[in-house]
Amino acid sequence: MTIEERLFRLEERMRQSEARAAIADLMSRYAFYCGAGCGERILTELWTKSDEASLEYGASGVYTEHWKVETFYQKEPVPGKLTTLSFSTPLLQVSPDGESARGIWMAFSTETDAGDLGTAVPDISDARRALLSSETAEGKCYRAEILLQKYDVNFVVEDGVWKILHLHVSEYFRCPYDRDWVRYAKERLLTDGMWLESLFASSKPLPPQSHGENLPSGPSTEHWQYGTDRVPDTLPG
Amino acid sequence: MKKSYYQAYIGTNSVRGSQGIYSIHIDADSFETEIIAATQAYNTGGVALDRTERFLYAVNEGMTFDGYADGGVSAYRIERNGELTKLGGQRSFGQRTCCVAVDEAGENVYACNFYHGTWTAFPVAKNGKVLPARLVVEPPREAVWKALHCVAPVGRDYVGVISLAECALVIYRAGDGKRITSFEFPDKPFPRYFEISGKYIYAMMQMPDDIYVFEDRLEEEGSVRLLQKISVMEESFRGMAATSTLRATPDGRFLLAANRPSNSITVFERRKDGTLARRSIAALSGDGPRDFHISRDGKIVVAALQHSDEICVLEIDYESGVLVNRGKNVSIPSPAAVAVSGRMEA
Repeated sequence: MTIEERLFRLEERMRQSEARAAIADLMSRYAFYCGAGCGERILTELWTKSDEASLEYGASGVYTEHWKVETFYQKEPVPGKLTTLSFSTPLLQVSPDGESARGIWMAFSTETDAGDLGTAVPDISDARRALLSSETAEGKCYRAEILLQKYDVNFVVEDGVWKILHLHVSEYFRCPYDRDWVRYAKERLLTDGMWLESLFASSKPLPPQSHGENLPSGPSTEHWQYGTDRVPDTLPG
Repeated sequence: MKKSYYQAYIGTNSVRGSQGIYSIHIDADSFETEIIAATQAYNTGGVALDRTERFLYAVNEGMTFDGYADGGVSAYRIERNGELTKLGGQRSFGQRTCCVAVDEAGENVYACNFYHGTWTAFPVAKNGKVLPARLVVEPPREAVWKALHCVAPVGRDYVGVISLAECALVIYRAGDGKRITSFEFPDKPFPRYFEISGKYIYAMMQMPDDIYVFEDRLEEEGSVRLLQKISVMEESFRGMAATSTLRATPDGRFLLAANRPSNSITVFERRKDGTLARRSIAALSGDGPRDFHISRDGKIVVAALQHSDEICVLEIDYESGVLVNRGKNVSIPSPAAVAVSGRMEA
Protein backbone atom coordinates (compact mmCIF):
# COMPACT_ATOMS: atom_id res chain seq x y z
CA MET A 1 0.00 0.00 0.00
CA THR A 2 1.39 3.38 -0.97
CA ILE A 3 1.74 6.25 1.47
CA GLU A 4 -1.05 8.08 -0.43
CA GLU A 5 -3.36 5.10 -0.08
CA ARG A 6 -2.60 4.80 3.62
CA LEU A 7 -3.18 8.50 4.08
CA PHE A 8 -6.49 8.29 2.24
CA ARG A 9 -7.66 5.38 4.41
CA LEU A 10 -6.59 7.21 7.52
CA GLU A 11 -8.51 10.32 6.47
CA GLU A 12 -11.50 8.15 5.68
CA ARG A 13 -11.40 6.56 9.12
CA MET A 14 -10.97 9.95 10.74
CA ARG A 15 -14.00 11.33 8.88
CA GLN A 16 -16.05 8.34 10.00
CA SER A 17 -14.81 8.68 13.55
CA GLU A 18 -15.54 12.42 13.66
CA ALA A 19 -19.01 11.82 12.23
CA ARG A 20 -19.77 9.17 14.84
CA ALA A 21 -18.60 11.43 17.65
CA ALA A 22 -20.62 14.36 16.33
CA ILE A 23 -23.78 12.26 15.99
CA ALA A 24 -23.35 10.76 19.45
CA ASP A 25 -22.90 14.30 20.78
CA LEU A 26 -26.04 15.43 18.92
CA MET A 27 -28.13 12.67 20.49
CA SER A 28 -26.71 13.34 23.95
CA ARG A 29 -27.77 16.94 23.56
CA TYR A 30 -31.17 15.69 22.42
CA ALA A 31 -31.51 13.74 25.67
CA PHE A 32 -30.37 16.67 27.82
CA TYR A 33 -32.69 19.12 26.07
CA CYS A 34 -35.60 16.70 26.54
CA GLY A 35 -34.94 16.54 30.27
CA ALA A 36 -34.63 20.30 30.48
CA GLY A 37 -37.86 20.92 28.57
CA CYS A 38 -35.94 22.69 25.79
CA GLY A 39 -38.01 21.52 22.85
CA GLU A 40 -37.35 24.71 20.90
CA ARG A 41 -33.59 24.16 21.13
CA ILE A 42 -34.01 20.64 19.80
CA LEU A 43 -35.82 22.10 16.82
CA THR A 44 -33.45 24.92 16.08
CA GLU A 45 -30.15 23.23 16.91
CA LEU A 46 -30.62 19.55 16.19
CA TRP A 47 -33.19 19.19 13.40
CA THR A 48 -32.77 19.88 9.70
CA LYS A 49 -34.59 22.92 8.33
CA SER A 50 -35.69 20.85 5.37
CA ASP A 51 -39.36 20.07 4.80
CA GLU A 52 -38.24 16.50 4.16
CA ALA A 53 -38.04 16.16 7.94
CA SER A 54 -40.28 13.48 9.39
CA LEU A 55 -41.14 12.14 12.80
CA GLU A 56 -42.95 8.97 13.78
CA TYR A 57 -43.67 7.84 17.32
CA GLY A 58 -45.07 4.39 18.04
CA ALA A 59 -48.17 3.88 15.91
CA SER A 60 -48.61 7.63 15.36
CA GLY A 61 -48.11 7.46 11.62
CA VAL A 62 -45.55 9.63 9.87
CA TYR A 63 -45.59 13.39 10.48
CA THR A 64 -43.80 15.07 7.60
CA GLU A 65 -43.34 18.79 6.92
CA HIS A 66 -41.49 20.90 9.41
CA TRP A 67 -44.49 22.43 11.14
CA LYS A 68 -45.82 18.97 12.02
CA VAL A 69 -42.46 17.89 13.42
CA GLU A 70 -42.39 21.10 15.48
CA THR A 71 -45.65 20.21 17.23
CA PHE A 72 -43.88 17.29 18.92
CA TYR A 73 -41.52 19.68 20.73
CA GLN A 74 -43.70 22.77 21.28
CA LYS A 75 -44.80 22.21 24.87
CA GLU A 76 -45.44 24.81 27.54
CA PRO A 77 -43.51 23.94 30.71
CA VAL A 78 -45.91 22.56 33.31
CA PRO A 79 -44.80 22.27 36.96
CA GLY A 80 -44.45 18.62 37.87
CA LYS A 81 -43.99 17.40 34.30
CA LEU A 82 -40.71 15.80 33.24
CA THR A 83 -39.42 13.67 30.38
CA THR A 84 -36.03 11.94 30.66
CA LEU A 85 -34.08 9.88 28.13
CA SER A 86 -31.10 7.59 28.71
CA PHE A 87 -29.61 6.34 25.46
CA SER A 88 -27.64 3.14 24.99
CA THR A 89 -24.51 2.93 22.87
CA PRO A 90 -25.71 3.28 19.28
CA LEU A 91 -25.57 1.08 16.27
CA LEU A 92 -24.29 3.67 13.81
CA GLN A 93 -23.62 3.66 10.08
CA VAL A 94 -22.15 6.64 8.26
CA SER A 95 -22.42 6.75 4.47
CA PRO A 96 -19.15 6.47 2.52
CA ASP A 97 -19.45 10.08 1.34
CA GLY A 98 -19.91 11.24 4.94
CA GLU A 99 -23.06 13.20 4.10
CA SER A 100 -25.67 11.01 5.76
CA ALA A 101 -25.92 8.48 8.55
CA ARG A 102 -28.32 6.22 10.38
CA GLY A 103 -28.22 5.38 14.05
CA ILE A 104 -30.23 3.11 16.32
CA TRP A 105 -30.36 3.59 20.06
CA MET A 106 -32.30 1.84 22.78
CA ALA A 107 -33.53 4.23 25.44
CA PHE A 108 -34.82 3.86 28.95
CA SER A 109 -37.06 6.84 29.53
CA THR A 110 -39.39 8.27 32.11
CA GLU A 111 -42.56 10.32 31.78
CA THR A 112 -43.74 12.29 34.79
CA ASP A 113 -46.82 14.36 35.47
CA ALA A 114 -47.50 15.24 39.09
CA GLY A 115 -51.20 15.56 38.26
CA ASP A 116 -53.29 15.94 41.41
CA LEU A 117 -50.13 16.00 43.53
CA GLY A 118 -48.70 19.02 41.75
CA THR A 119 -49.49 22.70 41.57
CA ALA A 120 -50.98 22.47 38.07
CA VAL A 121 -53.84 20.07 38.74
CA PRO A 122 -55.50 19.06 35.45
CA ASP A 123 -59.17 19.91 35.08
CA ILE A 124 -61.55 17.15 36.13
CA SER A 125 -63.21 17.26 32.68
CA ASP A 126 -59.91 16.88 30.83
CA ALA A 127 -60.04 13.46 29.14
CA ARG A 128 -56.25 13.28 29.30
CA ARG A 129 -56.50 12.63 33.00
CA ALA A 130 -56.68 9.03 31.79
CA LEU A 131 -52.91 9.29 31.20
CA LEU A 132 -52.39 9.70 34.95
CA SER A 133 -51.81 5.99 35.45
CA SER A 134 -50.95 5.90 39.15
CA GLU A 135 -53.14 6.71 42.11
CA THR A 136 -52.49 7.34 45.78
CA ALA A 137 -54.54 5.66 48.50
CA GLU A 138 -56.45 8.96 48.74
CA GLY A 139 -57.43 8.73 45.09
CA LYS A 140 -55.07 11.41 43.80
CA CYS A 141 -53.87 10.65 40.29
CA TYR A 142 -50.41 11.24 38.84
CA ARG A 143 -48.09 9.78 36.24
CA ALA A 144 -44.71 8.20 36.90
CA GLU A 145 -44.03 5.87 33.99
CA ILE A 146 -41.00 4.05 32.67
CA LEU A 147 -40.60 3.36 28.98
CA LEU A 148 -38.34 1.29 26.78
CA GLN A 149 -37.93 2.84 23.36
CA LYS A 150 -35.97 2.33 20.19
CA TYR A 151 -34.73 5.45 18.43
CA ASP A 152 -34.09 4.94 14.73
CA VAL A 153 -32.65 8.15 13.34
CA ASN A 154 -31.47 9.35 9.94
CA PHE A 155 -29.03 12.25 9.85
CA VAL A 156 -27.78 14.63 7.18
CA VAL A 157 -25.02 17.17 7.08
CA GLU A 158 -26.44 20.68 6.76
CA ASP A 159 -24.05 23.62 6.48
CA GLY A 160 -21.31 21.34 7.75
CA VAL A 161 -23.25 20.24 10.84
CA TRP A 162 -25.02 16.94 11.49
CA LYS A 163 -28.79 17.30 11.80
CA ILE A 164 -31.73 14.96 12.34
CA LEU A 165 -33.67 14.28 9.14
CA HIS A 166 -36.01 11.43 10.15
CA LEU A 167 -36.79 10.26 13.67
CA HIS A 168 -38.71 7.09 14.35
CA VAL A 169 -39.33 6.16 17.96
CA SER A 170 -40.72 2.70 18.72
CA GLU A 171 -42.20 2.36 22.16
CA TYR A 172 -41.68 -1.25 23.19
CA PHE A 173 -43.43 -0.77 26.49
CA ARG A 174 -44.55 1.83 28.98
CA CYS A 175 -45.92 1.21 32.45
CA PRO A 176 -46.34 2.95 35.80
CA TYR A 177 -43.25 2.69 37.99
CA ASP A 178 -45.20 0.81 40.65
CA ARG A 179 -46.39 -1.83 38.18
CA ASP A 180 -44.57 -3.80 35.50
CA TRP A 181 -45.02 -3.90 31.75
CA VAL A 182 -46.46 -7.41 31.72
CA ARG A 183 -49.31 -6.63 34.11
CA TYR A 184 -49.85 -3.23 32.47
CA ALA A 185 -49.72 -4.49 28.86
CA LYS A 186 -53.50 -4.63 28.42
CA GLU A 187 -54.36 -1.56 30.44
CA ARG A 188 -52.05 0.63 28.40
CA LEU A 189 -54.13 -0.10 25.30
CA LEU A 190 -56.91 2.09 26.72
CA THR A 191 -54.75 5.18 26.55
CA ASP A 192 -52.40 4.47 23.63
CA GLY A 193 -54.37 6.65 21.22
CA MET A 194 -54.66 9.51 23.64
CA TRP A 195 -50.97 9.28 24.47
CA LEU A 196 -49.99 9.48 20.80
CA GLU A 197 -52.23 12.49 20.20
CA SER A 198 -50.89 14.26 23.27
CA LEU A 199 -47.36 13.91 21.91
CA PHE A 200 -48.26 15.92 18.84
CA ALA A 201 -50.42 18.48 20.66
CA SER A 202 -48.63 21.80 20.29
CA SER A 203 -48.93 24.58 22.82
CA LYS A 204 -48.72 27.01 19.90
CA PRO A 205 -51.49 27.76 17.40
CA LEU A 206 -51.39 25.51 14.37
CA PRO A 207 -50.57 27.17 11.03
CA PRO A 208 -53.41 27.98 8.60
CA GLN A 209 -52.56 25.05 6.33
CA SER A 210 -53.42 22.67 9.21
CA HIS A 211 -57.14 23.57 9.08
CA GLY A 212 -57.07 23.18 12.86
CA GLU A 213 -55.96 19.55 12.81
CA ASN A 214 -52.58 17.97 13.28
CA LEU A 215 -53.05 14.63 11.59
CA PRO A 216 -50.19 12.41 10.45
CA SER A 217 -49.18 12.77 6.82
CA GLY A 218 -49.28 9.04 6.29
CA PRO A 219 -49.72 5.67 7.97
CA SER A 220 -47.22 3.96 10.24
CA THR A 221 -44.20 2.44 8.53
CA GLU A 222 -43.39 -0.11 11.23
CA HIS A 223 -44.77 -0.68 14.69
CA TRP A 224 -44.31 -3.21 17.44
CA GLN A 225 -45.11 -2.98 21.11
CA TYR A 226 -45.01 -5.53 23.86
CA GLY A 227 -48.10 -7.66 24.37
CA THR A 228 -48.50 -10.83 26.37
CA ASP A 229 -49.40 -12.63 23.12
CA ARG A 230 -46.71 -11.17 20.86
CA VAL A 231 -43.18 -12.09 19.84
CA PRO A 232 -40.69 -9.35 18.99
CA ASP A 233 -40.42 -8.25 15.39
CA THR A 234 -37.28 -8.83 13.42
CA LEU A 235 -34.33 -6.49 13.72
CA PRO A 236 -34.36 -3.37 11.56
CA GLY A 237 -32.59 -3.73 8.23
CA MET B 1 -100.81 8.56 27.52
CA LYS B 2 -97.62 6.94 26.30
CA LYS B 3 -94.79 9.27 25.45
CA SER B 4 -92.98 8.79 22.15
CA TYR B 5 -89.29 9.45 21.78
CA TYR B 6 -86.21 8.76 19.72
CA GLN B 7 -82.79 7.71 20.86
CA ALA B 8 -79.69 8.99 19.13
CA TYR B 9 -76.08 7.97 19.55
CA ILE B 10 -73.42 10.59 18.96
CA GLY B 11 -69.84 9.57 18.19
CA THR B 12 -67.24 12.20 18.99
CA ASN B 13 -63.61 13.05 18.50
CA SER B 14 -61.70 12.64 21.76
CA VAL B 15 -61.00 16.35 22.20
CA ARG B 16 -62.33 19.27 24.25
CA GLY B 17 -63.36 16.98 27.12
CA SER B 18 -65.41 14.49 25.12
CA GLN B 19 -66.53 11.48 27.14
CA GLY B 20 -66.93 9.15 24.13
CA ILE B 21 -70.29 8.11 22.68
CA TYR B 22 -73.29 10.07 23.97
CA SER B 23 -76.76 8.53 24.21
CA ILE B 24 -79.46 11.13 23.58
CA HIS B 25 -83.18 11.10 24.32
CA ILE B 26 -85.38 13.20 22.00
CA ASP B 27 -89.05 13.72 22.85
CA ALA B 28 -90.98 13.00 19.65
CA ASP B 29 -93.54 15.74 20.30
CA SER B 30 -91.72 18.56 22.03
CA PHE B 31 -88.29 17.74 20.52
CA GLU B 32 -86.83 18.34 23.96
CA THR B 33 -83.42 16.73 23.88
CA GLU B 34 -81.25 15.50 26.73
CA ILE B 35 -78.09 13.47 27.23
CA ILE B 36 -78.90 10.28 29.11
CA ALA B 37 -75.51 8.56 29.14
CA ALA B 38 -71.92 8.83 27.94
CA THR B 39 -69.87 5.73 27.20
CA GLN B 40 -66.10 5.94 27.22
CA ALA B 41 -64.74 5.44 23.71
CA TYR B 42 -61.93 6.81 21.61
CA ASN B 43 -62.42 8.89 18.45
CA THR B 44 -65.75 7.44 17.32
CA GLY B 45 -66.02 9.31 14.03
CA GLY B 46 -68.46 6.77 12.56
CA VAL B 47 -71.41 4.97 14.17
CA ALA B 48 -74.11 2.67 12.80
CA LEU B 49 -77.15 0.92 14.26
CA ASP B 50 -78.12 -2.56 13.17
CA ARG B 51 -81.61 -3.09 11.79
CA THR B 52 -82.98 -4.35 15.13
CA GLU B 53 -81.54 -1.31 16.94
CA ARG B 54 -80.20 -3.61 19.62
CA PHE B 55 -76.56 -3.04 18.71
CA LEU B 56 -74.43 -0.05 17.85
CA TYR B 57 -71.15 -0.27 15.96
CA ALA B 58 -68.54 2.45 16.20
CA VAL B 59 -65.21 3.03 14.52
CA ASN B 60 -62.07 3.71 16.49
CA GLU B 61 -60.77 6.43 14.21
CA GLY B 62 -57.27 6.43 15.57
CA MET B 63 -53.79 5.25 14.67
CA THR B 64 -53.69 2.42 17.17
CA PHE B 65 -56.02 -0.35 18.26
CA ASP B 66 -55.18 -3.13 20.66
CA GLY B 67 -51.50 -2.27 20.39
CA TYR B 68 -51.41 -2.55 16.60
CA ALA B 69 -50.92 0.25 14.10
CA ASP B 70 -54.57 -0.05 13.10
CA GLY B 71 -57.95 1.49 13.70
CA GLY B 72 -60.81 -0.74 14.71
CA VAL B 73 -64.50 -1.34 15.12
CA SER B 74 -66.24 -1.83 18.46
CA ALA B 75 -69.69 -3.25 19.18
CA TYR B 76 -72.07 -2.08 21.89
CA ARG B 77 -75.29 -3.54 23.20
CA ILE B 78 -77.99 -0.93 23.70
CA GLU B 79 -79.61 -1.29 27.10
CA ARG B 80 -83.25 -0.43 27.77
CA ASN B 81 -82.33 2.93 29.25
CA GLY B 82 -80.19 3.83 26.22
CA GLU B 83 -76.88 3.17 27.92
CA LEU B 84 -74.26 1.22 25.99
CA THR B 85 -72.43 -1.92 27.10
CA LYS B 86 -69.25 -2.59 25.18
CA LEU B 87 -69.06 -6.02 23.57
CA GLY B 88 -65.43 -5.74 22.49
CA GLY B 89 -63.94 -4.86 19.15
CA GLN B 90 -61.64 -5.89 16.35
CA ARG B 91 -58.72 -4.28 14.53
CA SER B 92 -59.49 -3.17 11.02
CA PHE B 93 -56.14 -3.60 9.26
CA GLY B 94 -55.70 0.03 8.35
CA GLN B 95 -55.34 3.24 10.34
CA ARG B 96 -57.92 5.98 10.96
CA THR B 97 -60.95 3.79 10.43
CA CYS B 98 -63.46 6.37 9.26
CA CYS B 99 -66.72 4.69 8.29
CA VAL B 100 -68.76 1.73 9.51
CA ALA B 101 -71.89 0.12 8.08
CA VAL B 102 -74.01 -2.92 8.95
CA ASP B 103 -75.78 -5.03 6.36
CA GLU B 104 -79.55 -5.43 6.37
CA ALA B 105 -79.40 -8.88 8.00
CA GLY B 106 -77.03 -7.69 10.72
CA GLU B 107 -74.61 -10.46 9.78
CA ASN B 108 -71.73 -8.35 8.50
CA VAL B 109 -70.13 -5.12 9.58
CA TYR B 110 -68.02 -3.23 7.05
CA ALA B 111 -65.38 -0.64 7.86
CA CYS B 112 -62.95 1.36 5.77
CA ASN B 113 -59.65 2.91 6.63
CA PHE B 114 -58.59 6.37 5.58
CA TYR B 115 -54.92 5.41 5.74
CA HIS B 116 -53.84 2.25 3.88
CA GLY B 117 -57.06 2.46 1.82
CA THR B 118 -58.25 -0.96 2.96
CA TRP B 119 -61.82 -2.01 3.66
CA THR B 120 -62.67 -4.80 6.02
CA ALA B 121 -65.60 -7.19 6.46
CA PHE B 122 -66.33 -8.54 9.92
CA PRO B 123 -68.84 -11.32 10.61
CA VAL B 124 -71.24 -10.50 13.44
CA ALA B 125 -72.17 -13.07 16.11
CA LYS B 126 -75.79 -13.50 17.17
CA ASN B 127 -75.06 -11.59 20.37
CA GLY B 128 -73.92 -8.60 18.33
CA LYS B 129 -70.20 -9.08 18.84
CA VAL B 130 -67.88 -8.27 15.97
CA LEU B 131 -65.74 -11.29 15.12
CA PRO B 132 -62.22 -11.09 13.61
CA ALA B 133 -62.10 -9.80 10.04
CA ARG B 134 -62.99 -12.33 7.37
CA LEU B 135 -61.90 -10.11 4.52
CA VAL B 136 -59.40 -7.27 4.14
CA VAL B 137 -59.41 -5.72 0.68
CA GLU B 138 -56.36 -3.73 -0.38
CA PRO B 139 -56.36 -0.78 -2.80
CA PRO B 140 -54.63 -1.21 -6.16
CA ARG B 141 -50.91 -1.63 -5.64
CA GLU B 142 -50.10 1.21 -8.04
CA ALA B 143 -52.26 3.79 -6.20
CA VAL B 144 -50.06 6.61 -4.92
CA TRP B 145 -52.39 7.83 -2.17
CA LYS B 146 -54.02 4.81 -0.59
CA ALA B 147 -57.13 6.16 1.12
CA LEU B 148 -60.81 5.29 1.45
CA HIS B 149 -63.60 7.49 2.75
CA CYS B 150 -66.84 5.53 2.81
CA VAL B 151 -68.03 1.94 2.71
CA ALA B 152 -71.54 0.46 2.62
CA PRO B 153 -73.30 -2.68 1.44
CA VAL B 154 -74.96 -2.35 -1.96
CA GLY B 155 -77.90 -4.70 -1.81
CA ARG B 156 -77.19 -8.13 -0.38
CA ASP B 157 -74.32 -9.17 -2.57
CA TYR B 158 -72.08 -6.15 -3.07
CA VAL B 159 -70.04 -3.63 -1.15
CA GLY B 160 -69.30 -0.15 -2.43
CA VAL B 161 -66.46 2.15 -1.41
CA ILE B 162 -65.52 5.73 -2.13
CA SER B 163 -61.85 5.49 -3.01
CA LEU B 164 -59.60 8.52 -2.80
CA ALA B 165 -56.80 6.37 -4.16
CA GLU B 166 -58.66 5.93 -7.43
CA CYS B 167 -60.98 8.95 -7.17
CA ALA B 168 -63.78 6.52 -7.86
CA LEU B 169 -66.80 4.63 -6.68
CA VAL B 170 -65.69 1.00 -6.61
CA ILE B 171 -68.02 -1.98 -6.23
CA TYR B 172 -66.82 -5.31 -4.86
CA ARG B 173 -68.52 -8.63 -4.29
CA ALA B 174 -69.37 -8.85 -0.59
CA GLY B 175 -68.58 -12.54 -0.23
CA ASP B 176 -65.00 -12.63 -1.47
CA GLY B 177 -64.03 -9.00 -2.10
CA LYS B 178 -63.69 -9.51 -5.86
CA ARG B 179 -63.71 -6.22 -7.70
CA ILE B 180 -66.78 -5.97 -9.94
CA THR B 181 -66.80 -2.47 -11.40
CA SER B 182 -65.82 1.12 -10.79
CA PHE B 183 -66.64 4.63 -11.92
CA GLU B 184 -63.81 7.15 -11.97
CA PHE B 185 -65.05 10.67 -11.25
CA PRO B 186 -63.85 13.06 -13.97
CA ASP B 187 -61.49 15.98 -13.31
CA LYS B 188 -60.16 14.50 -10.04
CA PRO B 189 -62.60 15.88 -7.47
CA PHE B 190 -62.28 14.92 -3.78
CA PRO B 191 -64.92 12.20 -3.34
CA ARG B 192 -66.55 11.85 0.07
CA TYR B 193 -69.66 9.76 0.58
CA PHE B 194 -72.31 7.67 -1.06
CA GLU B 195 -75.87 6.59 -0.28
CA ILE B 196 -78.16 3.98 -1.75
CA SER B 197 -81.88 4.28 -2.21
CA GLY B 198 -83.63 1.52 -4.10
CA LYS B 199 -81.88 0.87 -7.39
CA TYR B 200 -79.98 4.14 -7.28
CA ILE B 201 -76.57 5.08 -5.90
CA TYR B 202 -75.73 8.68 -5.01
CA ALA B 203 -72.04 9.55 -4.73
CA MET B 204 -71.12 12.95 -3.33
CA MET B 205 -67.89 14.88 -3.80
CA GLN B 206 -66.55 16.91 -0.91
CA MET B 207 -65.07 19.39 -3.33
CA PRO B 208 -66.54 20.47 -5.71
CA ASP B 209 -69.95 19.74 -4.22
CA ASP B 210 -71.28 17.47 -6.97
CA ILE B 211 -73.54 14.46 -6.54
CA TYR B 212 -73.32 11.74 -9.18
CA VAL B 213 -76.51 9.71 -9.57
CA PHE B 214 -76.12 6.11 -10.77
CA GLU B 215 -78.52 3.36 -11.60
CA ASP B 216 -77.48 0.07 -10.05
CA ARG B 217 -77.09 -2.37 -12.99
CA LEU B 218 -74.92 -4.80 -11.06
CA GLU B 219 -77.18 -7.81 -11.40
CA GLU B 220 -77.99 -7.15 -15.06
CA GLU B 221 -74.69 -5.87 -16.44
CA GLY B 222 -72.18 -5.94 -13.60
CA SER B 223 -71.96 -2.17 -13.74
CA VAL B 224 -73.46 1.15 -12.66
CA ARG B 225 -74.91 3.64 -15.15
CA LEU B 226 -74.44 7.38 -14.67
CA LEU B 227 -77.76 9.26 -14.86
CA GLN B 228 -77.08 12.76 -13.56
CA LYS B 229 -74.62 15.15 -11.97
CA ILE B 230 -76.00 17.92 -9.75
CA SER B 231 -74.39 20.24 -7.21
CA VAL B 232 -75.35 20.30 -3.52
CA MET B 233 -75.45 24.09 -3.42
CA GLU B 234 -77.29 26.18 -5.99
CA GLU B 235 -75.43 27.05 -9.19
CA SER B 236 -75.27 30.69 -8.04
CA PHE B 237 -73.51 29.72 -4.78
CA ARG B 238 -70.05 31.29 -4.60
CA GLY B 239 -69.06 30.19 -1.10
CA MET B 240 -66.84 27.30 -0.14
CA ALA B 241 -67.89 23.69 -0.53
CA ALA B 242 -66.78 20.92 1.80
CA THR B 243 -69.66 18.50 1.96
CA SER B 244 -69.88 15.75 4.54
CA THR B 245 -72.86 13.39 4.58
CA LEU B 246 -75.62 12.31 2.24
CA ARG B 247 -78.72 10.39 3.37
CA ALA B 248 -82.03 9.37 1.85
CA THR B 249 -85.31 9.42 3.75
CA PRO B 250 -86.54 5.87 4.47
CA ASP B 251 -89.39 6.25 1.94
CA GLY B 252 -86.86 7.34 -0.67
CA ARG B 253 -88.71 10.58 -1.39
CA PHE B 254 -85.95 12.96 -0.40
CA LEU B 255 -82.19 12.96 -0.35
CA LEU B 256 -80.42 15.25 2.12
CA ALA B 257 -76.84 16.51 1.71
CA ALA B 258 -74.78 18.57 4.19
CA ASN B 259 -72.24 21.24 3.33
CA ARG B 260 -69.99 22.26 6.21
CA PRO B 261 -68.74 25.79 5.39
CA SER B 262 -72.28 27.06 4.69
CA ASN B 263 -73.71 25.16 7.71
CA SER B 264 -76.55 23.88 5.62
CA ILE B 265 -78.41 20.78 4.52
CA THR B 266 -79.81 20.70 1.01
CA VAL B 267 -83.05 18.79 0.44
CA PHE B 268 -83.40 17.08 -2.95
CA GLU B 269 -86.59 15.50 -4.19
CA ARG B 270 -86.04 12.16 -5.89
CA ARG B 271 -87.84 11.71 -9.16
CA LYS B 272 -89.19 8.30 -10.19
CA ASP B 273 -86.14 7.71 -12.38
CA GLY B 274 -83.84 8.28 -9.38
CA THR B 275 -82.59 11.70 -10.49
CA LEU B 276 -82.63 14.67 -8.14
CA ALA B 277 -84.26 18.09 -8.06
CA ARG B 278 -83.14 20.59 -5.45
CA ARG B 279 -86.09 21.63 -3.27
CA SER B 280 -84.68 23.69 -0.40
CA ILE B 281 -81.60 24.50 1.63
CA ALA B 282 -81.90 24.58 5.41
CA ALA B 283 -79.63 26.80 7.52
CA LEU B 284 -78.42 24.96 10.61
CA SER B 285 -78.22 26.60 14.03
CA GLY B 286 -74.53 25.82 14.56
CA ASP B 287 -71.19 25.32 12.89
CA GLY B 288 -69.70 22.42 10.93
CA PRO B 289 -72.26 19.69 10.15
CA ARG B 290 -69.87 16.73 10.01
CA ASP B 291 -72.67 14.13 10.00
CA PHE B 292 -76.42 13.78 10.32
CA HIS B 293 -78.85 10.91 10.42
CA ILE B 294 -82.55 10.46 9.74
CA SER B 295 -84.78 8.56 12.15
CA ARG B 296 -86.12 5.27 10.84
CA ASP B 297 -89.64 6.70 10.59
CA GLY B 298 -88.21 9.54 8.50
CA LYS B 299 -89.56 12.26 10.75
CA ILE B 300 -86.50 13.87 12.30
CA VAL B 301 -82.91 14.65 11.43
CA VAL B 302 -80.18 14.89 14.06
CA ALA B 303 -77.09 16.80 12.94
CA ALA B 304 -73.63 16.81 14.54
CA LEU B 305 -72.27 20.36 14.54
CA GLN B 306 -68.63 19.56 15.09
CA HIS B 307 -67.12 23.03 15.26
CA SER B 308 -69.68 24.58 17.60
CA ASP B 309 -69.73 21.46 19.82
CA GLU B 310 -73.47 20.80 19.70
CA ILE B 311 -76.16 18.76 18.05
CA CYS B 312 -79.40 20.05 16.60
CA VAL B 313 -82.71 18.42 15.73
CA LEU B 314 -84.73 19.19 12.61
CA GLU B 315 -88.10 18.00 11.43
CA ILE B 316 -88.72 17.04 7.82
CA ASP B 317 -91.80 18.70 6.35
CA TYR B 318 -92.80 16.27 3.62
CA GLU B 319 -95.38 18.67 2.15
CA SER B 320 -92.99 21.49 1.43
CA GLY B 321 -89.72 19.55 1.26
CA VAL B 322 -88.02 21.72 3.88
CA LEU B 323 -86.22 21.05 7.15
CA VAL B 324 -87.43 22.95 10.21
CA ASN B 325 -85.21 23.51 13.25
CA ARG B 326 -86.84 22.08 16.38
CA GLY B 327 -85.99 22.21 20.06
CA LYS B 328 -82.81 23.55 21.55
CA ASN B 329 -79.29 22.51 20.61
CA VAL B 330 -77.47 20.27 23.08
CA SER B 331 -73.80 20.76 23.88
CA ILE B 332 -71.51 17.83 23.11
CA PRO B 333 -67.75 18.19 22.49
CA SER B 334 -66.72 17.64 18.86
CA PRO B 335 -69.65 15.52 17.66
CA ALA B 336 -68.65 13.66 14.51
CA ALA B 337 -71.14 10.86 13.87
CA VAL B 338 -74.85 10.25 14.42
CA ALA B 339 -77.18 7.24 14.48
CA VAL B 340 -80.88 7.74 15.28
CA SER B 341 -83.33 5.04 16.27
CA GLY B 342 -86.90 4.61 15.15
CA ARG B 343 -89.74 6.14 17.13
CA MET B 344 -90.11 4.41 20.50
CA GLU B 345 -92.73 4.45 23.21
CA ALA B 346 -92.01 4.88 26.88
